[in-house]
Parts: sequence; C-alpha cells; structure tokens
Amino acid sequence: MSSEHQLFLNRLKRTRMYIRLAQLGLVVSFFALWEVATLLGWLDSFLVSSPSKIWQTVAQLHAVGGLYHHIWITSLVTVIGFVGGTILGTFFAAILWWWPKLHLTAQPFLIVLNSLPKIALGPLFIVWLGTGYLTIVTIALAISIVTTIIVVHNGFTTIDPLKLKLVHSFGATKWQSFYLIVLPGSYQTIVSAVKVNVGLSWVGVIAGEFLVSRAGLGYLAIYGGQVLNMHLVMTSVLILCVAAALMYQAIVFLERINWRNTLTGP
Amino acid sequence: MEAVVTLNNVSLRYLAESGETPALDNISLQVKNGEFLGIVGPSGCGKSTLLSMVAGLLLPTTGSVTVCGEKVTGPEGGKSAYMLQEDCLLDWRTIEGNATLGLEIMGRLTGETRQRTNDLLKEYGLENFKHLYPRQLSGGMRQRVALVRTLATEPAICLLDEPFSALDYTSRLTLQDDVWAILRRAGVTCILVTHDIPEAIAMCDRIIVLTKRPGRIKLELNVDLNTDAPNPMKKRQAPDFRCYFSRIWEEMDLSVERASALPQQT
Repeated sequence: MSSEHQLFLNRLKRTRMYIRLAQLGLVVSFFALWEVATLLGWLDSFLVSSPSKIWQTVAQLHAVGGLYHHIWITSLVTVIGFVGGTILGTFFAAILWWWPKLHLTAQPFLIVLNSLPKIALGPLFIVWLGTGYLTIVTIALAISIVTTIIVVHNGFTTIDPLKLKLVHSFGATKWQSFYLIVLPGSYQTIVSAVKVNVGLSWVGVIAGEFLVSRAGLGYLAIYGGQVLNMHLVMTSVLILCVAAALMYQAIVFLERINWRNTLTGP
Repeated sequence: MEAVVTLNNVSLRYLAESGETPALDNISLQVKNGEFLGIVGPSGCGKSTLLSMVAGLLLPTTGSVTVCGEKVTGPEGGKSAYMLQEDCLLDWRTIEGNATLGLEIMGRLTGETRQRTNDLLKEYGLENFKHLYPRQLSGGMRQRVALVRTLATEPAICLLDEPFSALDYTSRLTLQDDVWAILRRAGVTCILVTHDIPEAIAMCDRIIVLTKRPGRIKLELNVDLNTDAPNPMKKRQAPDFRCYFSRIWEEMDLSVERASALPQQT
C-alpha cells in the first residue's frame, strides 16, 4: 500500500471516529442536561420525569418481572403485523396484476382506503374481534396492507418491458412470466415495502394497545398516563425507541443476505 | 431454396382510443433458409413491429405470416428467438441459469439440452463464468450470453432487434464480428433490424429498405461486396461498401428531409 493511500485511509477512519464521538456526545449531554435540569428544579420531574427515575422504573419492572413480557408482546405483534402486511399486500398486488381489469375497477376504492386513517376502524375491530391481540394485529395489518398493495402493484407493472417481451417470445405463460420475471424483478420494491411496513406496524400496534390491551409497551404508556406516572410513560417511550431501532437494524441485516439468489436457484 | 419466413400482403394498424395508426402497409417478403436479411428504415417505420409479427407477439391486421410452413397465430417458443436492444439478462440468475431460460420456459430443459447449452457456453469462452452473475461480466460477454440463450432453443429463425444499439462504438464493432461469426457458424436464418446502415451492409446478404410510417418496401437489395473478407469489420473496407451506403441512404426518406432543410444555394 502506498503511503498516500495509508494517509487517506487514516483520514477516513478519523472522520468516522469523530462522527461517532459527536453522536455519543449528543446522547450523553441530552441525558445529563435532562438529569441536571430536573435536579436543579428548572424542569418539574413530575411532568418530564428524569433519567435516574426512568432507570429506577426499569429496575422495578425488571424486579417484578413484567418488563420483558411487555417488550416481547409488543415486538412479537409488530413482527406479525409487518410480515403479514407485506405477504398479504404482495398477494393482493399479484391478483390485481393478474387481472388488470380488476385493478382498474378496484383503483378508486384503494385510493379511498389508502387515505382513510385506519385507526378510525379500531372500534369496529374491537366489536368484531374482541379486546384481545387479534384486534391489535388487525389494526397493524390494516395500516400497512393498502400501501403495500399500491406500491408493490406499481412495482409489478413497471417491470422492464423488454424482459417481458423476451419471455413472451419464448412462449411463456402468464404464470411463468410472473415467477420468472415480475416477482423476482420486484425484489427491491418489496424490500422497501417491508421497511416502510416496520414503521407502520409499530404505529398500529401501539395504537391498538392504547385501545384494548392489558400488556405491552403501548399499554404501559397509556396506563402511566392515566395514573399520572410520567416515569412509566417515559420508560416505555425510551424502550420503544431502542426496540424499533433494533428491529430496523435486524431488517437491514436480513436484507444484506441475498435471498433472491437463494430462493430462485440458479 | 426453401423459405423459412414468408410474409404475404401483411398490413398492421395499431388501434388506440385517439385513433388508428397504420404501422405497416402491404409487406410481402420471404427469408430463405440460412439467409441473413437486414431491414433498415427511418425510426418509427415499423421495423420492430415486423419482427414482433414474425415472433407471433403481434398478429397482422390483414395478410398472413408463415414460419416454417405454418401460419403464425401466437408466440410459440422454438420457432423464433429474439435478441433485443439490451441483453435482458436476469440479475438474479447465474450465467448458466440465464442461458437455459428459454429451454426452461418451453419445458425442454433436460440433461441433454443443458449439456448442449453448456457446450455453447464453452464454445464462446464463457465456461468459467457460468456460475457467476450477470453483473460480474462485461457488456460484450453479457451479449454473448444473450446469444447463447437465443441459440440454445435451436430456433428456426433468429430475430435481431437493434441488438447493438445500446453499446458504445468500439464494443458495437467487436460484437458485430462476434455475433455474425457465431450465427454464421450455427447456420441460423436471421432477420436483423437496424437503423445503422453500415451495420446492415457489413452483416447481411440482402437488405430491405422501408419507407416512413406506414412502412412499405421501398427497395430490396442483394449485398455482394465482391470481397473474400472473413468478417464484417473487414467487409467495411471493400471498395463497393460506399456505393451500397449511398444507394441505401438515398432511398431512406431522411435524405429528402435533410436536402430540403439545407439552405438554398444561390
């Protein structure tokens, strides 16, 4: 390696380190300022809580044993929500791709459903499905499924027409052009849909827990609010931040594995 | 000699809400076995439409298209195979998987045909790359894979739809030599559609010039360069090359447009 290259790499490494340090510094000073502000009485810790109180709440929840149960329930339902939303959405997108006239017929209704705030359907789901997790999963699905249908269908219909021409000239059936070209060719679109759905699913699950649940991070937050225990509210918000970030990182990690090549074979 | 492709008084009109567009008007032609036919004409004259009809992707409004003595009624793998503007390799399949795509679609992928495809890959210097993915290959190699994919199905006729137009000038010249040699060796009947007049003269036995839309046959020209040049690159140096070029250039409607656009000399 030339000395110039070595120098360049060192500079690159240094820049990255500075950025990491700055990020860490921001987090530390945010919490330190928060703590100090409540200690000195600039802020009322009854309203905004404080890092030390949050830490105590976490320790308490940990001691009682409910903490991991709440995190687990909420994360599980979120995963079910975005996986289900993506699979079902892609399935319906495929049906609309298969029958273009059906798509033309359904289009205005899809637009209406897409602009409807799905949370408004919550009371309906509660009456129909009860106050269990089925309702929460349904809300999470309802939030992500319509955009998935629209986005993935758009991906399906904008596949390279030359590739389709090629397989048609080989005499491909509609099913063959779907699984050989259209579906694998929309891989990136579906992956982006998954990423969007992770966020939407969190919204759906937390909103669902606000409405009906007896466990989960959303339940902790709404319960904390009702009994004016802001430490509990802040704790669940912070844990949510961490859980959502971890889940997103997990998706990015899974994306790096080249599923398409693995699944479609040679 | 027996005609592989016969077009009998073929006309085609594109129908749309805003009206109908005549694309081809009363075309009759024959392509003999083993012949390399070139079709040139101004853009939008229906050159590609003509190929689509031979492939069965479009059916003529009037008249009939016959391939190997059978009337074309729809796309049918095995009779004709396309080479398109782009190589259209599927990123998610290996080189071998791409080369066998046509056979797979037709349900003709057996140990024997797979072996023959592998022999073709070997013949064109792609054997060591067959487990790689298209993005790992150069543009020229990708086009050769596309050619193997075409030849693997043993088509009666090979349809080349401006196969070099997306390439830069040097790769274009190299690939013209490559593809020409491969197709000649395989003895396949070919129709080459191009807007590149020198390419047509260098590669084809016979050239048909079409008029502007609706395309009609304006000129039919047998190419005999009076040279024993072994490849298209060398053929370009034949003394008669320029005569053919000016003859075709004159017949293309563009020459008239250009002439009238020039300032009048006084």
